[in-house]
Amino acid sequence: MKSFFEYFKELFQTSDFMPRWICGHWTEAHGWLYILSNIVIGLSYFAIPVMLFVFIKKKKNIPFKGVFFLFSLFIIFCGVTHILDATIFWIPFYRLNALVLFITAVISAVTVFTLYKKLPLALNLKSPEQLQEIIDSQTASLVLVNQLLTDSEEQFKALVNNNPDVITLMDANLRYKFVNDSLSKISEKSLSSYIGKTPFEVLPDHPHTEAFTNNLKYVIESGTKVHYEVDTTVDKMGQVYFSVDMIPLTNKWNHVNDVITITKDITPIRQNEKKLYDTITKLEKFSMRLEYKRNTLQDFTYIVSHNLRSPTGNLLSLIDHYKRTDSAEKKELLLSKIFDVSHQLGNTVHDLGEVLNITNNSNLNTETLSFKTIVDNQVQNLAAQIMESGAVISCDFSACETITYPKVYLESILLNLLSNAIKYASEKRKPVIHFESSISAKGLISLTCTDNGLGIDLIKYGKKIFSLHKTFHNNPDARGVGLFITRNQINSMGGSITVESEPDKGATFIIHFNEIELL
Amino acid sequence: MSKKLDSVCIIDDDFIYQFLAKEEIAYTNMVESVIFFNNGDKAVQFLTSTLDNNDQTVLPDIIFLDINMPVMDGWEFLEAYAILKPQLGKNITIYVVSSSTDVRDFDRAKAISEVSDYIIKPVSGNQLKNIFNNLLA
Repeated sequence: MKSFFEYFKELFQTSDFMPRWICGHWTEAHGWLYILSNIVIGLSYFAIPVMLFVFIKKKKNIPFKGVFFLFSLFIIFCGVTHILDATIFWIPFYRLNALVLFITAVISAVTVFTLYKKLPLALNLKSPEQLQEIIDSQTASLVLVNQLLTDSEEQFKALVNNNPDVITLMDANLRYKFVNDSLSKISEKSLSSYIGKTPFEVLPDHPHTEAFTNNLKYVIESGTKVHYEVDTTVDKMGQVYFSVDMIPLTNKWNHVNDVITITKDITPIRQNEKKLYDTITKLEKFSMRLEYKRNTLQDFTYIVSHNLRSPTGNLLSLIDHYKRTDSAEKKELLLSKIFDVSHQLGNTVHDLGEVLNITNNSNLNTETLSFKTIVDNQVQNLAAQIMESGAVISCDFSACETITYPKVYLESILLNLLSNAIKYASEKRKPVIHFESSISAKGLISLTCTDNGLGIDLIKYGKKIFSLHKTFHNNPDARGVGLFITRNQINSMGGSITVESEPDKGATFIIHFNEIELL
Repeated sequence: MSKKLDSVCIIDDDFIYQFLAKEEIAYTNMVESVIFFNNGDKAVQFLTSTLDNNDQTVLPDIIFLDINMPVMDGWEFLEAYAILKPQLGKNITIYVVSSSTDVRDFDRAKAISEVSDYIIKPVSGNQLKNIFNNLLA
C-alpha cells in the first residue's frame, strides 16, 4: 500500500530511471526509427478520432455513437502511449507511462466488452444494398397503395357527385371546401366559385343563406348534428322544399374541423302530402254532404210512412164508407171529410215538393246579400202580424253585414225564424226579437235569432225540433213544416242550425252558414 | 147477448182516423164506450187523474196508440206509461197503430214489453172484432 502511494507521489519523478538513449546500446538509426515510428503512429492515432468526429458530425443518425466515442478514446490513449514511448528516449516517464498504459488497458477492455455486446445489433445493420432493396420493394407497394387510394377516391367522388342530394364540405370558418356536382342542378353559379368562400360571399341575397349559416355555426360550436326543413326558392327550380342535414366531423380533441351538409329536395314529397291533404279535405266535405243527403233520404222515408200513407189510407176508408152507406146525411158528412183529407194530402205533397226543390237546388245561384235588407223585407211581409202582436224587433249586423248565399233561401230562413218568433210568443209579455250576425277568425259566418217567447223543452223535443210535421205547442196554425224546410235549406248549403231554449223563457236559433266550406 | 168491452181508448192526432175508428168500433158492436186523446200527453194526464181521483173504473181495456203525434208521441207515451203501470189497478192491452211500414218503427215497438202488437193503418172492423174477441175469451 505504501508503495502504491509512493508511486503516485513520484508519478512524474524520472531521476531513478535512465533515458532510453543511454540505457542499452542504441545506434542512431535504430533509435530514430523507433522514435519516429512511435511519433507517426501517435499522431495518426490522434488524427483518427478527429476524422471520426467529422464523420459522425456530418452523417446524422449514425448508430452506436457510444461505441464510436469509446473507440476514439481508446485510439487517443493508444496514441498517447506511443508518444510517451518516444519521449522516454529523453525523459524516462516510466511511472506515467505505466498509468497511461493502465488507462488504455481499461478503455480497451471496456471497448471490447461494449463491442461484444453491440456485435449482434451491429450484425443486423443492413448494408446499403440491402437497404436499397428494401426501399425498392417498399416503393413498389407504396405505388400500389397509392393506386388503390386514387381508385377509392375516384369511387368516393363518383358516389358523392352522382348522389342526387347536394353535398358540401364546409370548414370551421364556414368556407366551402368541397361541393358535389348536384349543386349545379340548383345553382347557376360555377361550382369552383364556391370553393374557399362562405355562403354569404357566394349568395349574399339568397333567402336560405342566413338560416344555413346560423345552423352551420351551431353545428361547429356544439358538435351535434342538425336536421331542418326549409321552404325556399332556388335559381333553377323555383319554389322548393329542402331537408338539410349537417354532420360535424371532429378531430381527436373533439373540435369540429369540418361539417358535411346534405341538402335533399323533398318538394315531390311535400307536394304529394299537400295533394293527399286536399283529397282528404275534399272527401270529408263529400262525406258530410253525403251525410246530409242520407238524412234527407231518411226524412223522406219517414214522410212517406207517416205523412203520405196515413191520409191516403184515410181517403180509401172514407170512400169505402161512402159507398156502403145509404144515408144521404152520412154521405154529406163523409164527403166533407174526404174534402178535408184531400186538402191535407195536397198540403203534404206541396211541402214535399218544396223539400225536393231544396235537395235538387244545390247549385242555386248565390249573390252577396245584406242581412239588414233581407230582414227588413221580412219585417214588411209580416207587418200585420207584428202590429197585432206588438213585437219589438232589433238587429245588429255590424260584425258581419253581408253574406254570399241564395237569396230565396236567406229570405225563407229569416221569414221562418221571424214568423215562428211571433207565432210562439208568450201571452204574458210582448215579443222582443233580436237578430245578430258574427264572423269567426276562420271565416265562419253565423246568425242568431233570439226571442222571449214560449220556448221549447229541449230535453223532451231536442232531437225532433227540425223534423217534418212535428209541433210542440197545441197551436192550430202549426203544421211543423217551417223549421224542417229551414234546416234542409241550411244543410244543402253546407251549414247547420241549432237551438238553445228553456220553456217560457224564449229561444235562440243559431245558424252557421258555411261550415263545410271551412273544413 | 154477447159480452162487451167497457172502454176502448184511441190516442191519435188524426181527426179523420178518429172518425173512421169510431165508425169501425160501432160496427163491431162490442164496445160500450170510446175515449179519444189527440196526443200522448193528454192520455197521460187522464191516467194520472184516475190515480189522483182514486177512480180506476174509467180505465180502458185497450189502448190503440199512434206513433207520430205532436207534443208527446207514441214512444214518449210508452215511456211515461211504463212508470205509471205499477200503480194502475187494471192490465191495459196496448196496440201500436201506425201508417208507418218502416221496419225500424216495427222493431222498436216489438222491443217494448207493454206493446201487444203492431197494427198498420187502415184498421178494418173485422180486424177489431178479432182483437176484441181474443181479449174477451
